[in-house]
Amino acid sequence: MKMTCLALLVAGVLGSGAAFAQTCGTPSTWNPDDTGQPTVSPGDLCAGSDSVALFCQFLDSSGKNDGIYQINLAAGFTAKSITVTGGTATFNPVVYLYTAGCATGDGCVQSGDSTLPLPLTGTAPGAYFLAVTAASSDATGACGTPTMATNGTFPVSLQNFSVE
Amino acid sequence: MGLFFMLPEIIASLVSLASPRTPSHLILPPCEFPESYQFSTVDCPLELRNNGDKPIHILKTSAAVEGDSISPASLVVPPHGVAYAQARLSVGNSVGRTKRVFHLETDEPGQTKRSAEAQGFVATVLDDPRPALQFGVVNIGSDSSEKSLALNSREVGDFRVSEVLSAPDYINVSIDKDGRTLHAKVKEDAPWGLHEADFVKLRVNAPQQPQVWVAVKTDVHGEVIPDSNPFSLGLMRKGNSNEFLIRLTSRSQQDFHTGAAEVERINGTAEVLPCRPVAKGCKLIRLRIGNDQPTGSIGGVVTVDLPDYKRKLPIYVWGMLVGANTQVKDFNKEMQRAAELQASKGTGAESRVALDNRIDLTQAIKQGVAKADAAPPPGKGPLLKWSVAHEELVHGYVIYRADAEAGPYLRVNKDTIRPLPSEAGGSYQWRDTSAESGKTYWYYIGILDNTGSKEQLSGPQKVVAK
Repeated sequence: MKMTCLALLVAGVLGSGAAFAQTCGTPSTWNPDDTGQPTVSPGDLCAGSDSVALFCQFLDSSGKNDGIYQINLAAGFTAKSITVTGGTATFNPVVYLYTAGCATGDGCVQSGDSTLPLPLTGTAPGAYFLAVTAASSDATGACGTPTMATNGTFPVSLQNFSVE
Repeated sequence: MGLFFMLPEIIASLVSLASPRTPSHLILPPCEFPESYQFSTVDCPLELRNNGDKPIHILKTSAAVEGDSISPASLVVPPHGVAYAQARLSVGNSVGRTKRVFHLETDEPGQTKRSAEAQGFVATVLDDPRPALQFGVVNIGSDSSEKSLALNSREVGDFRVSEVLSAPDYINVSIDKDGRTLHAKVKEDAPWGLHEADFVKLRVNAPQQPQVWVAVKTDVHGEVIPDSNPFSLGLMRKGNSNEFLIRLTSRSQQDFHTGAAEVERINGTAEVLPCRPVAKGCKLIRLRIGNDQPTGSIGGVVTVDLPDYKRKLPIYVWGMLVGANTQVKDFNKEMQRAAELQASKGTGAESRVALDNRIDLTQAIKQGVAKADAAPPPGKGPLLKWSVAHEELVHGYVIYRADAEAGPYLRVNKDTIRPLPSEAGGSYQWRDTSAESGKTYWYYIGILDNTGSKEQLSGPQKVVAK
């Protein structure tokens, strides 16, 4: 299997820009819409694993369980953001979207939390990694059941405007 | 996958199960710093709360980002008490909602490494919050590589660039006689490879913000090019043989020599091999990613020496390294699965309608209350009133004013008007007390979103100031 992936990687990674090539498995073409439904949850992170030690070189996440996803933003995707909810008094969920910025020094990760959605505007279509975990300010071992929704954010609209 | 590679994870899991973590008594609410312009320095008092019966010693404090600082270097948080550390942030070229991390080393058992956060909004005087000279791929010797970029500001009247402070040495930069348009050209001897994190640094005449940085982004193709740059390593697992082949080809299909290939910023090795089957003007870099590095997002650079051209070619690589047994799900498929489940239960459409109704109802009630309760701001001058729905991504509102419908428009409210704390939207009033009585003005409302982007919310409206 590994050799197949390598062969695909060599043959298939062309001009991927900020995104990585889907080498093993067929990339899905789901395109987020504007309804915000349905939501995705990694389940109870307390029963999960601590798979990521470092986010973006300096955000130490060791001791905090996380959920890792691959996400494909199809060309023409309409989602504006990813929201994350499910915080408690001791658990503040954070979601990170990884781009090639970590390698080139052009920024690093986009992040969002329960007060501020992760913005997707300006993100090029492509395949990325998404991680959900506890905030860096949370205690070691902090965990809970976060829920994520893409979009769910209607565009701002002016209802009325007058000058007198 | 060998059991040998799984052992550390298995042992870690067993240890984790055997010794549950001691909960922390140190609570670190994020500190919110005031809205600031780029290149300013802001202070933020970090609150450290101890809800336990014993003092917590902070043995060492440090800033995660270069240029930021935190003091004191150590402190004690008393039992059932509060202590403060002062964070100082150099916001630099950040824009929009910005978060900075400060590390705290504590003596709490099992909680020795903690982090505190300072967050706030960083504004820019520019209309485009992230100006960039996007050259794209530049084929040295064949492409035109000139770009112009106008820097506009509706915050500073007669905005001008006063000086080019610095620029990458592979481009020539000049300022147009209008004082705000940059002209730039990639030099013929530019280093080959990807340039994504360089800036033209400019001194500007804005009183709020001394500098503006313009990003320079280009992929310079010389005689030898990699098959992609950055090169994605995708998902890697510890214990696997994470090997990748990066193809180098000659644009003129000529054979070329290579020297050493070096890997920086990640643990790994690289060597150059002939292509299989052998092809003219083609070589492969075999990159091996080491297991002896932290899991998570990894990024580095592979540099290959090209002695024929007296050049080095950097190739950026990035990917995600996870443990041998880490479950990595497909977000898109999870979404689809959830949608199918929702549809099978017959709850999708109903819940969506319910959501819409809830928002509309909340909106209607809230607007009514706001209109009924709000008294106009005191003073004389044109009174602007507006109502907005769906403000979730809005940081604030900005009022622009002109003497004529066609402009030029300039920002008139010094402080950004923040959205009301609500679910869906709000009603607002703002009075322009700087207007001259009897004079005709045009106003429109702009949005500042959380990423720092600026948009026009309304069309202009005319008024004669009373």
